[in-house]
Amino acid sequence: MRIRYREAGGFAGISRGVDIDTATLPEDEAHDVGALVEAATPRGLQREGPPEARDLRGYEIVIEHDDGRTVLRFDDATIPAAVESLLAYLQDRARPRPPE
Amino acid sequence: MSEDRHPLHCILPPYILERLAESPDARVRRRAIDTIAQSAALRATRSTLAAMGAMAAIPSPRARKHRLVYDAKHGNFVDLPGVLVREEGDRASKDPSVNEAYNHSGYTYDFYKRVFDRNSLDDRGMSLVSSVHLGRRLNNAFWTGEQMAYGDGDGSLFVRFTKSLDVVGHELTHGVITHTANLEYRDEPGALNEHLADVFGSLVKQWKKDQTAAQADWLIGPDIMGPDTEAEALRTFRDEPAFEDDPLFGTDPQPKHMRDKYTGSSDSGGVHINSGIPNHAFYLVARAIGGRAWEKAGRIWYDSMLALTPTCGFADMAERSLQEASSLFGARSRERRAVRDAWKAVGL
Repeated sequence: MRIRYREAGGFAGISRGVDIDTATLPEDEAHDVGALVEAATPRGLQREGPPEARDLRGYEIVIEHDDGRTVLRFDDATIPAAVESLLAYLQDRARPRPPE
Repeated sequence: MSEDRHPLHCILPPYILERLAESPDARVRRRAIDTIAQSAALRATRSTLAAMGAMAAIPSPRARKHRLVYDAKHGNFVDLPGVLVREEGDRASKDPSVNEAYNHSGYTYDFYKRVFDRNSLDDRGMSLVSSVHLGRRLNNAFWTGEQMAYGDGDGSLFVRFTKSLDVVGHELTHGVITHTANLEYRDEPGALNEHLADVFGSLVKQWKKDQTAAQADWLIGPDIMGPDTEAEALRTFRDEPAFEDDPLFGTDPQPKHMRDKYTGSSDSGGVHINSGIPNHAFYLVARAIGGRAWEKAGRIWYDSMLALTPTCGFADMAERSLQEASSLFGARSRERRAVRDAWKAVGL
């Protein structure tokens, strides 16, 4: 399973992200990541906060697995509770990236 | 402060709630204001009005400075505003985030009132509502369209976002923009929106410190930077990167000239990136005119903001600021020349 994480915008305007291939992770961590992904959502989602909001940070998680591709897009106003643990894991590993 | 924080969980028509919000009884007033703030019906009304370019506002009891600070208690956006913990006139809290949100929104109100004779964000005295402790380790602060919301930071990249006066001034200025130019939040209009928020956020700080343009740091967010980064600030108005090759932040992506403008789709078309171009133009104007930046450069920019419309871009801002400089100081004034030279220097 491969996971592509990107965040951009927000007050800081800093772009960060990380690409993870679970095949390269230690077995225990790969298992934990699989559990986080499973808990996150079985389907894709796209949610945006209110159009009048300003400085919301945008998040994108793309998961490529045996069954296909799952895309999760949301922002600070619409972070799904089920995704919070996976998001925290990815944010801990994210590094700065030039804006794409 | 009263311990009674329960909103009025009953079906009261809005005009009754508004009257109760002006009650001389502090407990009744607070409960009414809580109810107004939390009313799902009002939220729906506000959303509709926002789409029309106008915005409902939580009424201030006396149409003057009125701050409400809530504790979001690490809840999420849907839980806003949270629990009311400090209202206008209440004694200081033991929580520094609460006091910073209260004090910094007060300084921002005072700045707009004394410098531009503007009575709050809507110029009709709307309440300034802040929620602190939003989310867990949230590295952000934002304007929801109705109120300010502040994260605590993760303690590594950032500390609490209430700590910088320019951050609070920036967020509140988004509210002013919503009630004036109402610039769209994408591409150049969005970058102009971010630019104006940075300009007045910086000017609030300079005004509070009584600094001249030469004395000001021209930085955004220096007080919220976390202990694990050496980056001095998030943005600078000067012609230099705010940070470079930082392990946590990378390199400042803001251009200072049109030739380097970001053209990708990230960050709604680079609204926090391309704001660097007009930011630098404003800095050049302020430095060329000299003195206190809010008195002349700030006045030109404020009057321009009032005249802009939602789809305006950088060229429109440049043209408008030239017109305002002429109106305020004369067509052959050094102030107008400073504006012309600054826009030219950034490629406009």
